Amino acid sequence: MGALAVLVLVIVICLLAPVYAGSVAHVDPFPSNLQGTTIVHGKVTPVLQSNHQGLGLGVTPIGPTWDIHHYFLGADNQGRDVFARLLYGGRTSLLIGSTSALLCCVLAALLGLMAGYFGGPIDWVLSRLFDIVWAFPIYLLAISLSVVLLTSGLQIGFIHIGAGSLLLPIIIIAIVYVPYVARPLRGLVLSLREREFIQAAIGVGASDWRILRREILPNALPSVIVFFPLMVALGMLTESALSFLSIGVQPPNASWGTIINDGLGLLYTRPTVAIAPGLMIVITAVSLNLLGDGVRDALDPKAKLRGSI
Amino acid sequence: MLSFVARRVLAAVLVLFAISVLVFLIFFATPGVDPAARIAGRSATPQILAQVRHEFGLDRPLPIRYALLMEHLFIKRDLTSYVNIGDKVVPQIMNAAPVTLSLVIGAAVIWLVAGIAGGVVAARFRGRLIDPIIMLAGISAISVPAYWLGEVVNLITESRLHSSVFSWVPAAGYVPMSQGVGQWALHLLFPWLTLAALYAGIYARVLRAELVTALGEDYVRTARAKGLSERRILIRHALRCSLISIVSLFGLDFGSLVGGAALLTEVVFGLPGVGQLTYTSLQDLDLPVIMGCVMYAAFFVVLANTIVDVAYAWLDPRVRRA
Amino acid sequence: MPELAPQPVGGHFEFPDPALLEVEDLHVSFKTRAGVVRAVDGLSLTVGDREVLGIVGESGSGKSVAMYSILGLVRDADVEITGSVRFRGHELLGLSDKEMRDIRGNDIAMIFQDPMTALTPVYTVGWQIAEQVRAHEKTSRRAARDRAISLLAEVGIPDPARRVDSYPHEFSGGMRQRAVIAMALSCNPRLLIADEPTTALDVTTQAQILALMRRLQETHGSSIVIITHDMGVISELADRVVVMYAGRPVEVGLKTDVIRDPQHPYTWGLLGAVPRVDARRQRLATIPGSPVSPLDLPPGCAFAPRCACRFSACDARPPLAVYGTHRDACWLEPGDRARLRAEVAALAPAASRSQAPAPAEAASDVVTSATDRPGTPRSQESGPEPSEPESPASAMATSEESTPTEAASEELGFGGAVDVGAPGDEGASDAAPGDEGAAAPDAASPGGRGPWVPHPIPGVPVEPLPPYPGPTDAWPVEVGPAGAWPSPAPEEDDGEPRAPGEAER
Repeated sequence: MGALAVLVLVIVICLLAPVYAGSVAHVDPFPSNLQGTTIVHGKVTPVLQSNHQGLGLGVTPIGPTWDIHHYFLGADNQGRDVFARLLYGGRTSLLIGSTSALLCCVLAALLGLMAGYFGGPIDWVLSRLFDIVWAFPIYLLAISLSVVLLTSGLQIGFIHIGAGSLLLPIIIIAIVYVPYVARPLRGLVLSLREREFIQAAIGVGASDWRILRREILPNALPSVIVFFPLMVALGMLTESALSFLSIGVQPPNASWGTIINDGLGLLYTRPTVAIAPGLMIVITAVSLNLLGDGVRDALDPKAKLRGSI
Repeated sequence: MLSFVARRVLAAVLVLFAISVLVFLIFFATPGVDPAARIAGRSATPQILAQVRHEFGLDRPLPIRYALLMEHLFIKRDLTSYVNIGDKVVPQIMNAAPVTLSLVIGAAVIWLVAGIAGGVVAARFRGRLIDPIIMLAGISAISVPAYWLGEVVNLITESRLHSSVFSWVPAAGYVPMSQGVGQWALHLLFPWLTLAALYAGIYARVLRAELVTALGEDYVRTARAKGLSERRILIRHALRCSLISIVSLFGLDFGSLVGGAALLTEVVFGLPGVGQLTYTSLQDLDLPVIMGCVMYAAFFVVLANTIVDVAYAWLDPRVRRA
Repeated sequence: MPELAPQPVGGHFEFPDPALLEVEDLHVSFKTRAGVVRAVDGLSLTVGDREVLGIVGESGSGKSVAMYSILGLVRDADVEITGSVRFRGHELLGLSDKEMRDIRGNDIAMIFQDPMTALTPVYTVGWQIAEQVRAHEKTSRRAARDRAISLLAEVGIPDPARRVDSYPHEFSGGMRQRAVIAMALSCNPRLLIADEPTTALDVTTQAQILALMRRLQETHGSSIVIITHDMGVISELADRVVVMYAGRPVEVGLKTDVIRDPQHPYTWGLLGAVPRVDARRQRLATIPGSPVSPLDLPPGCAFAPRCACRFSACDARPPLAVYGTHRDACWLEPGDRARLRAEVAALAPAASRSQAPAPAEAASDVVTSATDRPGTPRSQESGPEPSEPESPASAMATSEESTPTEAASEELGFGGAVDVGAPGDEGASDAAPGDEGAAAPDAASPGGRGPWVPHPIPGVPVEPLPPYPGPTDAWPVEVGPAGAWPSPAPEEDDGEPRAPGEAER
């Protein structure tokens, strides 16, 4: 499908970021480059140019040169190549999105299946946990956790995760969305449990774990697979929101969210810096959503009648 | 019905309690973190630290600490910010609430109308051109980061096209209704549209899926065989049955937004609502205010959950016996 | 029995022109990615006033689709409907949706299979009945509600004044179906189409609903088209029967004729699958093979791949006979059907292979004199074939219309003579009571029992019948299991040694 092609394109381009930065543009997008120069229309120009308007104070980065070798989308307020940063940021954003989605789906599948299958007190406790986590408006919970953990990292026993590690946003985003996936899965397992083939397996004397592994999991797997692209999109959007608020990805790492944040000060003068990463997020999220729709249509024939794209 | 309501209310209270415990634990009991330094803010002197420790009973066992916190927050209602010294938390929130309410209610009206209309039109003309167009618009609306959209809207209305098309758009900020409904609405116009875009997309998609499912149901076939018009079937039968899920979705969304989940939009458009309050307090690590805001938000979410459950039972007669 | 005796007048139809509903050469096909699906392939039928027409066939035989397309309920964009459907003389196909809406629920009503999901769950039953009434007649809400209450009472729902405000989920399955019937009859339609109304119900409720429908039909004076796969329902309720296979009608006739004297091999199979309560040891016959896919219809007779009497003529599609009240679409010699049916019935799955597939020869003596068609090599029959050790002729002659078993089955509502002979009694073959009639050929009887002659209709010129494919060297028919076509159902052998020629049922 078209969506898949677009998505793969985006992923491949971002993965090739080091190649681009190293060989094509010959820039290093991370350190400040305030004094740097580049070639525009054949002339050597500084990347941060003095303001000629207004009071003549301050500097303005150059705008897009549309030259793939030299500051394709211009420079940001630190003189760095926006396009190269965009690609690197894409890697981070995609990494966080997909890893948190994976973690979330795995965790939600585990918890949802257990809650649905075992019922009783386990179900009650887990369901109340889901209710509580879900009762927090998503951003509030994520923000709260981020605020707390990002000042000094997380230390549980011997596990120490540094404040700047990417694992923190991943874990936080995964936790926040677990109820979103786990509750429908629990409902699915509840209805599966009443079906005859499960009763038959119990009657034959299969152990609980065996039933979970052999009967329930394969039937729940399509739903989890449908959720996955959607969670990647949601994870990316949440991550960008957190980074925008400076409580997501921390420097020196860059992600699309941080680039947008960086570009805010330049919004009216050099809007490219803020617009480009946003567009990338939109394109990626749209193709992820379309992919999710396509996966759902493929796995559930009845749903095909519902989807129009 | 009454026992149903009672049970839901009880469950809601329990959840609220659990949330307060969770908030408490996050801010006070995270391993490796000193709560006093947090409460007092970043620039705290040792005096303030000692005062904070004593006042919050940080030298006391956890449950006592929790009780003290709740007392300050709810009963004495004198929880004060430590960053803006002397500002009480609760009045701050109460002042910010109407702004958020204005934003959310206006946006809700817009997104309900747009979302339901989009979903109904897409379902009615499914298979023809307008259907995928609406759905693609919906997906795009969902995929846009809200704050980015707000910034782009600002860019267009305040800067790029300000002199030509959008000269009538006022600068960012909030004007209370007491100063004129016209100005109030004008200032809120673009925030409304920006916030509504995301939810309209979701609702249109969900409603379309529900409607198409409903239109394939047996009772729609019976209604057709009865000789009813397609429009009546769509609206009176299919929509009525699909609205149930929309209503529950709306309740949850509205509840969480009123509680301050629209913080990104508020920040971008400079509206001093609960969301912005949360945001600034987070930036300053002003713990009392954060806690107040979080409790405020959680309360509304739980309230919305309960109302939705009750409304669900009212809308779908099959659920009432449960 | 219909009050109006069928009169063959005016060409093809048995009823005075115009009959209540006339379907002529209806074709319904769907364009799918896999090809063109011909759901209905040339259906013609008529429904008269105050009569009950049963349409019977397997799942996928196109019976429901045909009725849906009559009412314009097929919403698929890729559907193509051709032919003519006339209701009281007015053409229905091609009407705008608005015009169809005036007819739906008002002149023609339809009820569906599953009562559990047939009603909108969020409105009360009374509201939904009133909605239908007010959609077609200008009545006040009060009047419509009162009409709903009286309708609910009429269908036998207790305490209707209170139940009218109940929601559908508060009714049981049988009650819900009654409510649906009440709703369908609310505007006094002339025609009620019932699509498997009792399939989703248990047997006792089924009987109640059928009795209710019969009673209402007599009270309201409407006609009913009942679609079912269950011959028992047909024998209970229907006056006339249309048997469909693969979207085509294969047999049409009065109920008693079709059940007692089925002409088409598919009908033999359908009837053979009805269990008898009094049979001692009984294996239900199955028609070997599986239903034909509408994507992949064979060019000739659709049933040929599964037919035990298939022969070379079956490569051409047999037309539904034009005249008579009992008609079928089969190339087999009409007068020979009874005998063939007996032979098909005599096929035991495993045992028969070792036997020479010997037709019951002695019977042919009886039947020979019945034929008068020139050119049929009937006289050659008794020649080369070995005859069965046990002559079934006596067996054939024994079964009379009034055997005790038959009377019993009438009581049970399995009308007619659904002949599943008690094994061990008659031995080799199934008894076809129609054969007694073969001894006295009645050239002029319109029941299709005798030789197949054009029925003389006063004032109508006799048109030549489509040419009979004629004798081939495959005649007489070699009765044997369906061969290389879709493989027959795996042969069952319960391990008991079978005496040669013992009946399988």
